[in-house]
Amino acid sequence: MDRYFISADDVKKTYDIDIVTAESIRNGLIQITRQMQVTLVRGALTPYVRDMMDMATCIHRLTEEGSELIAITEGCVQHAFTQGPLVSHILREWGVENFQEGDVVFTNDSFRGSLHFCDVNCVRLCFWEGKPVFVLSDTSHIADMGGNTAGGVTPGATVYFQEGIRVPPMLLYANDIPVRSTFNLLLENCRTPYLNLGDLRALYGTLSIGERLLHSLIKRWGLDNVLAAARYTLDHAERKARSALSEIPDGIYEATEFLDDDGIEDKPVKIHCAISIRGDNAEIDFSGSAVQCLGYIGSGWADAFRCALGIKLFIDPGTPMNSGFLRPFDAIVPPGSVVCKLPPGSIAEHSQLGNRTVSAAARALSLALPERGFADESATLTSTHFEGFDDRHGKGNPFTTGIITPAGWGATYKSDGVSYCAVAIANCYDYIVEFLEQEYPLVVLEREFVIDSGGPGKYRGGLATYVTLLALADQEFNLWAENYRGAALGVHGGGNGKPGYTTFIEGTDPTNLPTWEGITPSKYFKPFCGTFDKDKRPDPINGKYGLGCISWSDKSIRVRFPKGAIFRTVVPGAGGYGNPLERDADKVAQDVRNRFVSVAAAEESYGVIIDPCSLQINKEATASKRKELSEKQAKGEWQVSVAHHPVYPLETLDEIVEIKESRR
Amino acid sequence: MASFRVGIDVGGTFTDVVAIKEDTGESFIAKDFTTPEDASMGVMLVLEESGIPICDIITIGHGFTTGINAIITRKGARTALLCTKGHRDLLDFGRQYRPLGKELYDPSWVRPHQERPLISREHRRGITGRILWDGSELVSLDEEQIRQEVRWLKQEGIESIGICFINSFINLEHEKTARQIIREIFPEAYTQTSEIYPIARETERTFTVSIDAYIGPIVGRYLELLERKLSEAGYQGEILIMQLNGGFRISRSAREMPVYSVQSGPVSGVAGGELYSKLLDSPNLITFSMGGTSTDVGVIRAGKAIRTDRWDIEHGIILSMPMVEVHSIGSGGGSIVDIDKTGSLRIGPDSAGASPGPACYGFGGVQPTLTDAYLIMGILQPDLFLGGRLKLKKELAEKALKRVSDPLKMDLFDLARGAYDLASTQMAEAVKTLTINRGLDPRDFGLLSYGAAGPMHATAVAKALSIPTVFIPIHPGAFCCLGLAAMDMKTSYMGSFMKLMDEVGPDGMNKIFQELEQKAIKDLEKQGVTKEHITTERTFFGMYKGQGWDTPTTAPSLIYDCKSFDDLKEAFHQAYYSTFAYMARELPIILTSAMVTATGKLPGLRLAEIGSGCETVPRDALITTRDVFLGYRSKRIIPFYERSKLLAGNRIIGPAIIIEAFATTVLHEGDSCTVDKHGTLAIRV
Repeated sequence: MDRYFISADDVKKTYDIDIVTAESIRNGLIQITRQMQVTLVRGALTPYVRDMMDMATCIHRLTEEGSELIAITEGCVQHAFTQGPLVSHILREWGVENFQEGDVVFTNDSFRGSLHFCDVNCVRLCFWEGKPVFVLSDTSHIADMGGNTAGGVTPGATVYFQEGIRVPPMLLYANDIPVRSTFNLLLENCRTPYLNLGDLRALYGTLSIGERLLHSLIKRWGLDNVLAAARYTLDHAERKARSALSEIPDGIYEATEFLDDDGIEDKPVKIHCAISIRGDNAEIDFSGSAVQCLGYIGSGWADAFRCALGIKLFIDPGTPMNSGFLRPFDAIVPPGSVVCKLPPGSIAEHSQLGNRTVSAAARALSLALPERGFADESATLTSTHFEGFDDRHGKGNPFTTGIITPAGWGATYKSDGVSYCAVAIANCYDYIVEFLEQEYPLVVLEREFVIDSGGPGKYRGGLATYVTLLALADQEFNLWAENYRGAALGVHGGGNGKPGYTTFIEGTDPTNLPTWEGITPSKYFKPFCGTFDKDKRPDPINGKYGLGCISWSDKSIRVRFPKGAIFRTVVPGAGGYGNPLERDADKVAQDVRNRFVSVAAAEESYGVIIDPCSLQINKEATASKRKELSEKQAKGEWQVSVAHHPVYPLETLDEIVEIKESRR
Repeated sequence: MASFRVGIDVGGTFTDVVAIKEDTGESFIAKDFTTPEDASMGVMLVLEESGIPICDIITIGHGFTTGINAIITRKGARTALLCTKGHRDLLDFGRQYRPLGKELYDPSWVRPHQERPLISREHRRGITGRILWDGSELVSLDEEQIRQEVRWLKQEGIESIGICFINSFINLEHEKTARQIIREIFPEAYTQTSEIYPIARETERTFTVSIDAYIGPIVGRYLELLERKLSEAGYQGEILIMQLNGGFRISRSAREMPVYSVQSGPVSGVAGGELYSKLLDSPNLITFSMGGTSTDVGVIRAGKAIRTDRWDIEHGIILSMPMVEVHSIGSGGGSIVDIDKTGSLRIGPDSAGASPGPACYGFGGVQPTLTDAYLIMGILQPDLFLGGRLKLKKELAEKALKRVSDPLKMDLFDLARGAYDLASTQMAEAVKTLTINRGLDPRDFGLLSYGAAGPMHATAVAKALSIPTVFIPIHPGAFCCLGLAAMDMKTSYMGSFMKLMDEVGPDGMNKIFQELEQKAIKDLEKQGVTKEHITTERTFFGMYKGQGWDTPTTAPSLIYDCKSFDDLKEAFHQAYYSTFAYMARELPIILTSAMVTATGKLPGLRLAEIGSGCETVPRDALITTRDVFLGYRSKRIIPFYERSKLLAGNRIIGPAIIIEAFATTVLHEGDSCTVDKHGTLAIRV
């Protein structure tokens, strides 16, 4: 029997509560946060919450040091790692005794544990018979908090003053009455006051509903039982974490990753991660990572802890998150490094860095433990944020909106990576094209998977997606992305995912775009950023980052997007797992029929020969090709390359073999 | 000559029939195994077993699982999808989100449609042609390309084609043209377009169209076969098919839009709840059905089942249409009692299913299930199960439960009782999802419980939620059929507008609703309902400008003027407030869509009254007294009653057990049960 196992008697002795009651309340607490999540998502106005679920709803218990997160429903996974420390910090600073019933405290300060200024947080104490007994908190990504550009993620920012307004803990509601001075401050320092007002109300309403549900839980089971079950819930998650950690051999596991750049200096940003496992404890050390960069990439002390997610993905995806699960983890984040930036540096772009700390932690373990490992995810939500004036007939209003395009997850030791899925630290609903086109002067002309984009391997990485937009009114956008210079790394012989790029498309009109599975001949390209060759072809092998591009960096601000222009974003694909020559040839053929892999790439990366007309496997030719490649591989003369389309067309799609020769 | 109204429910395991004799209201029940290869065989067989002459049947209400089974097993038609060029991956995107819960952090999780597609990517064809936000055309439709694609699809052996283009909710012309072309060159193919549910949201609409196309040919074949067999056997009426909206559509018409009747069992139960709501004069009911593998909860408010417009059949496989809301959780009597590595006790989500079934059935199951716990507690008795037809094996149940109680160092009986309690709490949480979590107070409701296991947990669930009264209808083991024998015809029409309400104005609202009403009424008239039996209901869906989720609001059926138009807006603010605890009067309301539901009243159903007696239960109803563990570490000798022997007016005080052929009702200490004139058990908890 596992030494983290506790019997029904132990439960009774330790918590003075029977196991059935303990389990009932544990699930009841999670249920409450789920209902709060539904309320917040459906009640919010900004698309970041209503569609993309960049939010979380939480219940905490009071402790001597502050508080501990007991239950959370994380729309966005990262909040599960930051809401605990953030709320505890606020309680210590504000003082529990200074809270009265119906008070709601607001903050957005990323140096106090918020993710960035647009992630706003509300905290309310739940009182029972006049005494504070629990803490409720929620957080959501609000449309705008002022600053240099709409949406708060301001490429080019070097100090936090450029990101927007930094709000230390302030009273938003006193005794359930809105505090005018706070609302005035918040609504008069943003571009979208009506959206912000709606979201602040939704955050407040959600906490009220949470309190109502928590009261009914306490009424049902009694306060002492609920408090005891809260301790049980935290210890239960801790036992699960320790049990899972103890299965990893003691040792130090290391990995290094690079971000493309910080948008200011043309050089990659290094992340180094060393995980020491000792018994059932894990220490994650980021010493050796880049010094705090000038640009807006980075994280603060609290959100640096998202790196623990990399280990969570690896050891125990199943257990619901809370502070108990995190007890066995320590993180060393050197102050003044890119993972723990100090003011007045900007950490507006916290998410790309967060992704990489997670990838690095997961990679450190995956490299050492192949039987459970997985490859890198695309590690970016390529974001384009539009601003302008909608002058379509019948409209006539300023607008701002973001389009976030997800990519894929890395292949695992047992499966292909999922495609079109938000990064691990997030979780998103997709935007609705038909709603977007109603509300904003944009047309989504194309949005599909990109052929030859998932890292080749025994298991294939998740695919990239391309999105082609047509502007129906003059506007500007900001862009931020990752893995346009680098790539999502494969493991154990798997290839890297295809890097991303962006480009304007010119010389053809939207009624007749020559596109095949995400490929358009490069003569129509006016590259914006990415890794291209001299003929403007995206080329991760021989191309150069920024060559012939309008912007050298994949973090750009205020790009003009005039009416009638066409802009394409191609997000990066994810890494592959294992030797691609061992991939089941039938699976490769299936991928070819589905146009996930081209005939040319099937041969080049997988050694599988497929007839471009019938799309059937040529078994003999495949056997000899695979034999040849294996022999070269054994001698170190062959290695699968990064995912790419082997013959990228210059002038016409007819240069692609299966278009010319296939029946279609 | 006697005449009967019959409800037939084809479930995953059993096919049930309930027949009601029209003049006396007497009911007859029959049950046998479903014949999955050809469900109509099982239907004819059970009808025969019921002993009702088919020529004496005046109406048949029917629900079946052919559609949902085809989806779950991916054995639908070979289907293709014509979609807008550049948008053929909507089904694989599935709105992108990951499930909350344990998959959220699992790197090996794959979205179900990516892993097991309904329509493979090579058969999803992007068609050149593009409609813009205002219905205007950016790119004209490439009709020649459609011809080429359809010819190729025909060669590929495709049987069914869905058509769904971007922005077709505002302009259907491209889809109509595409359908016309298919009909010309591939007339034998089944086709479906957005017309079936023309609302904004491209992914949801594409799924609705695709699912319809996927099951269309199979459901069509099944219904045609059943129509033929029944007509050959002498049935002259229409077969009335239960739809997700809780009303009937005649079989011929249901074949043209099979997605509306993709699944009917859970809905029929809730529809039966509407019937009982009237019968019991209890306008607010929570329906709670617990079977072997799943539990379904529905809510009836003011006599009507609450409705929704969204159902994730599997994660990211979304069906969007007006439907009776049923909240299902995957636990039932077959759910496995389990512990994790750290000793956390849980029920399910794994289930022993029909095979091997609970350990005590003796069919080879070794893992402990709730049913084994019932047996150990004594709620189920080895010799009294299924009327004595299946002898339960107590030693196997004990052995199975010890796999959990030994490591936990827990008393066997306490574990059984604990599992029962945990399951009751889980069921209570499921009920909360549709009540407390929606701002409804369960204390204002009665709990109508059915399914084989429902009446065992009903009073415990009610107590956990302070629900004052539990009702157990007749035939709880085949209750869905009762709904199927009793419902009305129903059709819903919907349109999407995406306009500010103030721009639409009172005249616009009048026009929108009148047009939808005309369509709905015409549909029912085509199915043979006469105008005087038709009533209509209006609903509009609104959201504040800037939001992305809409909220339904009921609208009165009248010609709106400025005043009543303002009332509509106020009703929206109030509906919003009751769900979200705030409202934003200063923000404009966007009318996303409007819906009209027309009901065609069928003659009311009368249920027979049972013989009446006094408070004291007749002597022959008491079958036995046995030891039962209804409390922790305390067994008591309690009475077992035979339900069919009870008389109206009888009163039973718990603890007691009431048994019948396909269900068992548990009364705990303090529960007080009376029998009403229709045989319903009304239990005050």
